[in-house]
Amino acid sequence: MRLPYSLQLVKRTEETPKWLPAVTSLGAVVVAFVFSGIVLALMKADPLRIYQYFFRAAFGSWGAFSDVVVKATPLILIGLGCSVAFRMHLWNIGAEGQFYIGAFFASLVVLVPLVPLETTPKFVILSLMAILGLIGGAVYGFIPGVLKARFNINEVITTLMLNYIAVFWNNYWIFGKYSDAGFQMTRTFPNVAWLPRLADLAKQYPVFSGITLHLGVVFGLVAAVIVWLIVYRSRWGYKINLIGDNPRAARYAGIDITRNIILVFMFSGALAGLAGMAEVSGVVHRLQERISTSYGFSGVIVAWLAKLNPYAVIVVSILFGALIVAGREIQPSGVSFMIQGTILFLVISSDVLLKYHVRLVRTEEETA
Amino acid sequence: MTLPTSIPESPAVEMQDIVLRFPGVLANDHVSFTLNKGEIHALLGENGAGKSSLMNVLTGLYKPQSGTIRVNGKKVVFNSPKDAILSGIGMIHQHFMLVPNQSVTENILIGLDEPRFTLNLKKYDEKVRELAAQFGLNIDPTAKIWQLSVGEQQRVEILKILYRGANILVLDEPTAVLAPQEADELILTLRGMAAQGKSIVFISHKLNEVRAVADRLTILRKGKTTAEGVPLEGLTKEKLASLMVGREVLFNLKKCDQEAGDTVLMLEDVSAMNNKDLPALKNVSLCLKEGEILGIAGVAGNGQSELVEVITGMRTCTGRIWMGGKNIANKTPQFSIEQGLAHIPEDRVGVGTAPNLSITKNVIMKNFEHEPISHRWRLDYTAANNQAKKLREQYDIQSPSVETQARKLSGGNLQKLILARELSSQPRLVVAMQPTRGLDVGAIEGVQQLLLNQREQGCAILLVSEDLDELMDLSDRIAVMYEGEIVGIVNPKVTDINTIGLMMTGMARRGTECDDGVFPPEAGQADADAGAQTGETDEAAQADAETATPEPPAPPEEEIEPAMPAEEAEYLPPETEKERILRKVRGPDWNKGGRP
Repeated sequence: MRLPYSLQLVKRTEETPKWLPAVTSLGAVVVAFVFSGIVLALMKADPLRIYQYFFRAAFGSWGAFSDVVVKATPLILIGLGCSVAFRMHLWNIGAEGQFYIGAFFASLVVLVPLVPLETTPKFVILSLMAILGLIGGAVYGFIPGVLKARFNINEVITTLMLNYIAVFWNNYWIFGKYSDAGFQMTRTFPNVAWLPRLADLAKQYPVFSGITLHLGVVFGLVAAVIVWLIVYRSRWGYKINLIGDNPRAARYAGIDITRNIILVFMFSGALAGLAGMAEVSGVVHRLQERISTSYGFSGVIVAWLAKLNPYAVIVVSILFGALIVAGREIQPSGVSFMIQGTILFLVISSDVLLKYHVRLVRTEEETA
Repeated sequence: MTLPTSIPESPAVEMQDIVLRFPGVLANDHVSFTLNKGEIHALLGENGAGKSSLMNVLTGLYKPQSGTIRVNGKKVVFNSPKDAILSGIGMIHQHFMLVPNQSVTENILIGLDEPRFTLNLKKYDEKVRELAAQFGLNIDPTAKIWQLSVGEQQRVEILKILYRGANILVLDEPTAVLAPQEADELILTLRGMAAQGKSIVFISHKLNEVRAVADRLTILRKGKTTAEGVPLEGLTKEKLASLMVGREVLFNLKKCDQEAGDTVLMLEDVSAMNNKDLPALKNVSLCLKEGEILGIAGVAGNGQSELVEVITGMRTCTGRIWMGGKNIANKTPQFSIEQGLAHIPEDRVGVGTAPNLSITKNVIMKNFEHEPISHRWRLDYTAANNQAKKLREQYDIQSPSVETQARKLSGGNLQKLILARELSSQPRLVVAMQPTRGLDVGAIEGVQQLLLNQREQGCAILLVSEDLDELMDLSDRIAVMYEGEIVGIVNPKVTDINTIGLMMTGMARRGTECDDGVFPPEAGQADADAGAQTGETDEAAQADAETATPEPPAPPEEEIEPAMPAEEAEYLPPETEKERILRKVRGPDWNKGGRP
C-alpha cells in the first residue's frame, strides 16, 4: 500500500538564506507550544488558559519580568561561555562546576576576608569578587582543558565528573569552616558585597520597590557583546572557528591547537564562574547548597538553541527564565519541563530544514 | 521484440536514453551505453561529467527518471544495489571497503547468506583459492587484509564481486592507487577475465592506460556522450582529451631550461616514525635548490606522507632539516610557514581547507595574522574579502561568491583555492603532494602550469606524486622512495620510466648523493656537471637492474623484436600477452632503455 504523495528531502544546492535559521527556530518554538498544548488538552486541561497563566506569571508585571531576567542572568553568562566552547567542538558540560567554583572564589572575598570589609569601598569589593569569580571559573576550566589538550582525555567525562567535585568542595566549606551556626550555609554577606539592585533605588523611584533585578544582568549583556566581537570580528574568533571546523586544517595553517583548547576552556569557565559570582552576590547573598538549579546544564541547552549566536543566547535565556518562573506557579510542575524538552527537540530537529528542501512529490507509478 | 535469450550476441548491458536529474543538475542527459560480452569498455570523462552517476544507475544506487536498462537482453529495474548484484553486476570502488583485521576469505563472505551460522573457514578458503586461480588473481585467502599491499587489497575487492557471481564488473579508477607494475598486472588480469567472458567497465582519467586496456570507449561530457562505443584503434591521445574536455588540451607544458640556484632545503639523515610507531623514514638526505622541481616517486605508503609532514613541521623526526639557514626539524608548522614554506597537502578536504567556512576564511588561513587582514586583535573581514575576490579572479576559482562554503566547490576549484592561498604568499619552497590527483585533464593542465610558473620565478618545489608521467614531465630530478628510503635520485631526461618503476618496487637502486656538501652554500653548483654524472650512473644502474631482476615486468630479451599480429595474440602464452600490453602502455619503444 503506497500513498499517492510522499515527502522527499532534497539537499539544498544553493546557499542557505541568512534569515532562515531564525525563522525555523521560531517556528520550532511555536510548534513546541502547539504540541504541548495537545498533550495538555489530552489531560483535559485548557491549554490556552494555561498558556495565558504562564504568560502572566512571567511577563504580567514588572516584578514578574524582573524575576525572569534574574533567572535568565546566569543562563546568559553560562550559555555564552558554552557557545564559545561548542564552536570549537569542545563539549564543556562542566559549567555547573565552574559556576560553583566561581561562586566559591568570589565568596572568599567576604569569608576570609581578603580585604577589610568595613573600610574598603563597595566598588572595589564587588570588582574583586567579579575578578575572583572569573578566575575561579577559569581555573576550573583549565583542568579539563589541559587534560583534553595534552592527553586527549574526553572532556565530556572530565567536565561532568568535575561538576560533582565542585559541589562537594563547596559543601566542605559551608558545612565546615564557614558554616553559619552549623547550617549548611555561610552567614549572610554584608551589604557591601551585594550587587546593586533596582530595589535599592526605591527611595528615589518608588516604581522600583520590590524589583529584584541586579547588576549581574549587565555583566551578561556586556559579555554578549564581547563574545560577539570575539567570534565574528577578532583574530582569536577566526582561530576558534577554524579549529572547530577542521582541526587538521588549523594545525596545517600553523595554529597552536593545544594552547587554544586550554584558552577556550578557561574562557568558557570564566563566564560560568562570573555567573556564580553574580548569583551569590546578587541573589542569595551567601554561599550555600544548591545555589544553582542546574543552570550549568540549562546553559548548555541555551547555547544549542541559540545556535551559538551570542545575541540569540540572551533571547533564549529569557525564554528559559520565563519557563522557570512560570513553572513554579503551575501544577504539575512537569509541564514547564515538557515544554523545554519539546523546544530543544524541535529546534535541533529543525536543522534539517536548513540543509534540505522538503518537497511533496507524487509517488511514481511503476511502469512494468 | 524477439526473445532475447535466443540471440547469442545480445550485449551484456544495454542502457538506453538514461536521464538522471538531481535538483539543479542534469547528471545524465539521454545517455546510452552498451557493453558487449567479453569486452573491456572504458568510460572516460572529466569530474562531474556523469560517469559515476551512470554507473551508479547501473549498479542500482540511483534510479533514473527515464530510460531503460537491459542486462543480457532482458529489461531490468533496479531498486537497490542488491538487485544489481543479483543480475550479475558488481562495482569495485576506488576506496576499498574491507575490514583490516579479518582475513581475505572472511571479507569475501561478509554480507552473504551462506554460511548461515557456523563458519567452516577452511572450506571457504579453498573455494576462494580456486576462484582466485581461475582468474589469475594471486592471493592467500588466509592473509589478514592489513598485511596486504594496496594492489592485493584490490584483488580481494575483485574476488568479492566475482564470488557473488558477477559477470559484469565496474571498476572505478582502479589504477589510481597502484604502482606502474601493479597496474600492468591488473590490466593483464582484466584482459584474462575478459577472455573468459566477463564484461568489464573501466572508469579512468589516464588516457594512456585506457588505450592499453580497452576495446571500446564511451566518453561523457557534461552529462552527454561525446563518443559512444567507439573502438580505440586510431584515436590519438589529443583527440581523446579534446573529446573529454571539449577543447584542445596542450600536452606540451611550457617548461623552460634554467639553472638551479642556491640550496633552499636540505635534509640530513632524517628518520621518522609513522602513526603506528613503525619506522617510516630511514636516514633520508635530500637537497633542493631555487628554481628546481624535485619529484618524489614511490608507491603510496612508502614514506612520502611522513617526508612531507616532517618538512612542514607536522611530524617529529630525528636528523636535521635546513631551510634558509635554520633547522626547521621538530619545530611547529607556524615556524616553517614563517621561513617561506607553502604546502599543498594531499588531502584537500581533510587538511587543506575548512569545508564549512567561506572561501574568504579559507583564503586567509595562512596570512590572517598579518596586515592588512589583522589589526592587533581585530580581523578585518573587508580586507579579507577583497583579498579573496582578487585571488578568485586571478586563479579563476568558479564560485557564486567569496562567501560560498569551501565544501561546495568542485575538486578542481578547491585545489585552485589552495594553490591561490599557498602561491600568493610568495613562498621560497613549495611542498606539493599529489597536486593533480582526482582532477580532470583540463584542471591538471592548469595546476601543472602554475607549478612550472612558480619554478620559473625561482621557487624550489618538492613534488610528491604517484603519477609517473607527471613527475617525468615536471621534475628536474626525481628521488624514488621505497620503504622509507631514497633508493635513488635520477634525471628524468635520461632515465626511462621502467627503471623508476623497478626502483619504486625496491628491485633497483641508484646513487642518492646530494651534490652539495655544506649548508648554506654560497652559490649553486654547476648543474650540468651533476646532470652528466647522473646520466652516467643511470646506465650502470640500468644494467644492474636488468641482471639483478629477471622477474617481471622486465621481459625476456629474446621476445622483444616482432610485434605480434593482434589476432594471434590471444593464443600466445601469457608472457607475450603481457608484453603486448606493456608495449601498448609504454609505447612502441618501451624497453629501449633496457638494452645494453
